[in-house]
Amino acid sequence: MATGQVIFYTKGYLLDLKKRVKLLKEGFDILSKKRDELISKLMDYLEELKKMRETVISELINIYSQFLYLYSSMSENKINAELVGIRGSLVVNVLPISVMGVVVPQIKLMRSPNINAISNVQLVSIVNQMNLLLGKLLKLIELEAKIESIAWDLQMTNRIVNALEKIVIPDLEETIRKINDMIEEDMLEEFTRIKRIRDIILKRREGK
Amino acid sequence: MSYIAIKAHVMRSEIIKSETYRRMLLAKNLRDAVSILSLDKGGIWYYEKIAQIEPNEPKLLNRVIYDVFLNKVTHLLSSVRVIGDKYLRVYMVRYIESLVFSLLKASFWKKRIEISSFDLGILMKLFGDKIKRLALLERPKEILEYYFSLIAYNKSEAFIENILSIASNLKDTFFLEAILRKSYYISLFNKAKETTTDVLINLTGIEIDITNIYNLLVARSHNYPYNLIDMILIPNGLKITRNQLIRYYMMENISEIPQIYQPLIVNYVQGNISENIGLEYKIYLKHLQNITVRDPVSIPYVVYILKLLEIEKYNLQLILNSFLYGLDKENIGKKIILY
Repeated sequence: MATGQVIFYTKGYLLDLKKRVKLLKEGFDILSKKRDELISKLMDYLEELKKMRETVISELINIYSQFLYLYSSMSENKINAELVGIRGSLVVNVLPISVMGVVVPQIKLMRSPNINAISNVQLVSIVNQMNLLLGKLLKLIELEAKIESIAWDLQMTNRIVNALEKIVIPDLEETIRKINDMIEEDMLEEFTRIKRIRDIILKRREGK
Repeated sequence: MSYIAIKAHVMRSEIIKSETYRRMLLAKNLRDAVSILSLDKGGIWYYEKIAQIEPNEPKLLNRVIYDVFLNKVTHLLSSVRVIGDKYLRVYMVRYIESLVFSLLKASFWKKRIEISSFDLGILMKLFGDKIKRLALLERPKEILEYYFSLIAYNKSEAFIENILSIASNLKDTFFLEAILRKSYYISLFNKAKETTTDVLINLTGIEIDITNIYNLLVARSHNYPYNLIDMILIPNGLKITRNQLIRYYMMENISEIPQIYQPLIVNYVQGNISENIGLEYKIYLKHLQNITVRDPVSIPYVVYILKLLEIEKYNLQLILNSFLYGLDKENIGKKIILY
């Protein structure tokens, strides 16, 4: 029984409790389904994340290694000359969207830095590859944030479901059982008392 | 041994030998690799300077390599007494191209960059006092005029205004660089023609071909329309005609591109750009190896040695930086150019 809960051993309270248990059971069913769905979504996203991360990391290593070779072969002056005209910065917009009631971020690339000033063909190729990868990187970040939000929500849902399943509903059912017992006892007592009164009344009538 | 053979041998001996690169690649660390340079006549130049600095500082290391490279170029030119040659004067402008372009970009985008006294000091060895003027230029127009004067290429004020206005509309400084490169190669080709030496005309033609290919690839990533392509294409290429290049730009079909240049495009398209590193030097070297030494103080032979010095600088940079960045030595071995 939940601590601090005042119990009224009345039929009205019993009915009220039964309604509450019914509602909690419905809530439990819905939350269990949500939990299962969240687990299934989380598994899908994790699978997707694994593949995407592998691709992004291997592409990143490839681009980085190509850049290192280029950086090693070009003089620093040349690299600096290429980078002078790069303007603007990366601007992204993060929108909150709801997936099964879980708020997850959606990242939109609004503006990339202007790289038109780069004229070295090899550097252009590397920067173009990096620009393409940037979209994938943002998707990866979005997916990771999504997984984190869903995992957190799953944890909360799981706690609620467990609390309902193992504590709240059994407690209330126990309380209902107790109230039921008490009411039955009261009724039996009342019945016995009425019977005895009836017997006494009958005896008195016979005496007269 | 004749005087010609001895002179040619002496000039060639100032270049680091292929064996030294191989040994450097086998070194355990950067310091060991640098010390191997001391055993090579051409390498001593680099060894003496690099030994004085902390080679683990990439910025400093690359500057010193550049400094020694220009010292060797100056030494070469003064030893053969060809400093005033018109072709070489234009040829050497490529050594300050990146500095001029970075100043141009900075002034175009209204940024400010300072030329370090170190860089100015290095460049003054080769270009004399006129390089000091470069540090004072602020407006794009002034920088363009300065560059045209360096390459001895007369361009009207209206032309300069026109290309600046196109670049402003495009918001793209690549266009300006492409026009400057075009002017550079037209001037260089004209000077090569004046020498009436096939080797120089052909070498310039090959450089024009490669520059055109590179310009087209960059222009494609910038989505340049046809009329701009027409403006940036450099005439007088050796193996590809203007029409072939335009057809390639329109249809992206490399079948018409000579086989020697195809890897440059294929690697770019496949995003395998590290394979292109050093490829152009291989192409130049293939062309220059046929050079016969009739006169070691002739301009073609000096240009041949200059190219070898450029390759030497490229090789050294690649090998020494590979120690700093932990690059695979086997791969580096494939990328260095042996002559």
